[in-house]
Amino acid sequence: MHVIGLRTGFGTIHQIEAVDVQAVVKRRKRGERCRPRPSHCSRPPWVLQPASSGYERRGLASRSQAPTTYPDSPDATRQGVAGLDAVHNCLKMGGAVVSQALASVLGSDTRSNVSRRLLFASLAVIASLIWVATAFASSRDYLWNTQLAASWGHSDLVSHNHYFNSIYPSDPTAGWPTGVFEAVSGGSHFVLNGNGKIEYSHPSTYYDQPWCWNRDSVAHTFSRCTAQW
Amino acid sequence: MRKLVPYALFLGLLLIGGLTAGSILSRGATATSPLSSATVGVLAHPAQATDVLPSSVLELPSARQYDLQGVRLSQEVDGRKLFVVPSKDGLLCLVVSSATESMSNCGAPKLLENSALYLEQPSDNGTMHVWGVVGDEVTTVEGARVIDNTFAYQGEATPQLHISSGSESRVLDLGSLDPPTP
Repeated sequence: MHVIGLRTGFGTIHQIEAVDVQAVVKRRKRGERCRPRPSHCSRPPWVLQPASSGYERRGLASRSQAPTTYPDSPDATRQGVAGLDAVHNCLKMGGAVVSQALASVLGSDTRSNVSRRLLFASLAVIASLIWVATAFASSRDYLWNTQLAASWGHSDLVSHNHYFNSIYPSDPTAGWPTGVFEAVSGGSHFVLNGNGKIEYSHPSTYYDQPWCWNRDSVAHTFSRCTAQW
Repeated sequence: MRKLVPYALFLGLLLIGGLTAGSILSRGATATSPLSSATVGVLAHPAQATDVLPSSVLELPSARQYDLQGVRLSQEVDGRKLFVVPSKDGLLCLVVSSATESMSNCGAPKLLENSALYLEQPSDNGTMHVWGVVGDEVTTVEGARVIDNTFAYQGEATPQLHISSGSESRVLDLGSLDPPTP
């Protein structure tokens, strides 16, 4: 039995047995109950065995040979196999540690399964919320504190189904001629001109690029131009 | 006594220069007297049930700065509502709202002394829409009626419109209308 010390946030140390998860699953599928494992199973996974001892896996060996610098060297092969197995075992150990930590905290397998499902469910909810936020409520500033030359436009050339475009002069009180429009290769649309801080919300008809422009005959500085899609 | 003569001459020249400059400046001031006051009478009208911005307008980023108590619906034309909205940061906003679009332009009320706060939208058929806010004294805008400080022009695309106040008239320069080629 391999025992791991896990320090929690409260300073206590929980002792956790590292188990072979796959073996447990197989046993459970066969309807067997958990029983103490034979002594040869208790060797820590990171203790590497020689390839000739039966620990070598052919698939891994051939995979390890491909990027090896010295493909003909048996030592190199053995080292590659050992490295991959170490990584594999580390991942397995990590999973076992997490599941056992939950089990030790909750005290039973059932509660552990429930908590694991809750954990995955909450992670899925968080991930979906992030995805929804980025996919459906996206906004970006495509110009910041930039001087635009006379009759000059600016875009970051990023296409989306935009529904909002705006331009904010650094001095909105000055009354400079300003404008926004959106463009695809076929031409411009959703053009709106004015002489101040312009905001334009419209249907998201086109997959297009947002532009803002200085319509004046002299250069001016603009705080930002913002688009939403 | 002789020593004072250069000083006296210098002071005299300074006085003549000052008077000349003052005369020129005062003439210039007369030539650029305001077309209108920057006051917008519709904002003083009692609030009506219709003086409410649609929810699509309230979603605009600038809406956080709007003084929602001061919103006034000026007119409704061709399915579009023209609102005049004061903002908390001292700007004046023109909001144009239809069933599918919301647009706003915010600028300094001082603009109304010699110009207008406007939004211009070209159409595919070569015509254009111009909506604007003008000061109290402005009575006409070329090709459009002024109703409660706003006007709505629809006609041929033009780089400028004439706005008038009694005997005074100004050109509202709409600037470059065609977007630069991307």
